[in-house]
Amino acid sequence: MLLKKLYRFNKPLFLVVSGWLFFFVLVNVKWGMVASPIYQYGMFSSVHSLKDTQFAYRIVINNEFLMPSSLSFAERDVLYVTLDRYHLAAAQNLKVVNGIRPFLPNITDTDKRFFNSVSDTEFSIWYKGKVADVTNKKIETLEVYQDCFVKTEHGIELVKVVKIPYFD
Amino acid sequence: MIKERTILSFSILYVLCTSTFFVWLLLNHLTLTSYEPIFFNNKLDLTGNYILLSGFHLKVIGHQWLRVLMDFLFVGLPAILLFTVWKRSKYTRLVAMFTAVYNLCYAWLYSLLGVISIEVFTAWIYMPLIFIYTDKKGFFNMALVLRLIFLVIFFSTALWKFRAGGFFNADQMSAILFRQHTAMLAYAPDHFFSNIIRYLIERPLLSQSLYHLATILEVSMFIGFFTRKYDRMLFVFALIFILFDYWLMEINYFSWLPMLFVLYITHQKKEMARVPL
Repeated sequence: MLLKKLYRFNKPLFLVVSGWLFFFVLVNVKWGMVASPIYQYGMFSSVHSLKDTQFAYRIVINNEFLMPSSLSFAERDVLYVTLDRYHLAAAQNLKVVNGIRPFLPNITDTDKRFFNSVSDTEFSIWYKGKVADVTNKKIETLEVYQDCFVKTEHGIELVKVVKIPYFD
Repeated sequence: MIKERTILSFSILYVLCTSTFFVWLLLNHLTLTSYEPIFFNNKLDLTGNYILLSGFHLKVIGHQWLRVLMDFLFVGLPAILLFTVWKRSKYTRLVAMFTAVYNLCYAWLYSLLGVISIEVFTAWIYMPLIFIYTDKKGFFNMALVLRLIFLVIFFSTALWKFRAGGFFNADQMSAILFRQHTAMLAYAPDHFFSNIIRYLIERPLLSQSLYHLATILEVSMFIGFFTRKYDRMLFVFALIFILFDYWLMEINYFSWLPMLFVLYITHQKKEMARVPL
């Protein structure tokens, strides 16, 4: 058995490995907070439904629609995931702070180390730069829409369009 | 049994994998230097949040030179590690430990500031530790430790699918594909890839079979807890999983390759069982 072998080989190493195993089980059984370098690998494990509404970002550069197929999937991540991350950042950071407060009680709701201070305008200027980098285009105008889709018998149907206001 | 040259070959392989991954980041505007983050999304990670207390992430957001340095160290430290292994330097252990700790901080900050989740970086955090010992016995024992970590992680992904219910949901894979590729399906419906995805979404039984197959590949890692005889088979299983993740889900888990190669070297043929470690 490996642990027995490690105990004979090097006792501190045995303790580290045993500790890792213990914390891995603990973190995964508790289902919530992790502690680097121990994580939960439960991606795509929770139940997903085909009835759920999904959304995608539609990016229009200089009045021209940016086709996602013209980008690599990683470039699509740079453009789409970034929008998503920014959209969720405030709520996400607040949720995390509330979760870790028992361990770090001195964090305030205005602590810049835990809350972003970037404004929508700053973000939109920065994001235009990202779009320019990825597409190699000079950006005169940029519009971004969040389109919501549902899966129907006939395929995918657009049910709602929300224009992201800070790109105006 | 491990040979002297295996240790050096493995360090070369590690450097090649890191460099290739870094080039992929570079080509896709994903390095910290090219991404130039201006905001962060925090995660419920206790250790990570203690790191945030230092405010270092705000310095990374504020200074391009720091981002350049961080990227440079991410790709440079493995090269330094290779050099120390090659020269059989007494500092190898120190460099290996520093690289692992550095990669942990890099991965944490990257997942906070960038668009790739920390799980993708797991192998970079653990891999340098294999070089803590550069004698044959120590290296092999560390390879066994990394093998155990890999098997536990991979096996846990299967347990999560049972526990969270995904395995038992008939629409699971179709729904995941719809969610993962909404933009392609909606805006580029005639694209070859969109056609494949749509074909799978329309056939939940077929797509769910793929989900089940992936879970079986993950479950198969359980064999590794009892014997090393099938390590190369598990290596192939994990490789298939990573290939499909890349192609079907568009998630790049090739960063796990060095950890897969650990399975390749720990593989034990029957006749080697009597060789003492």
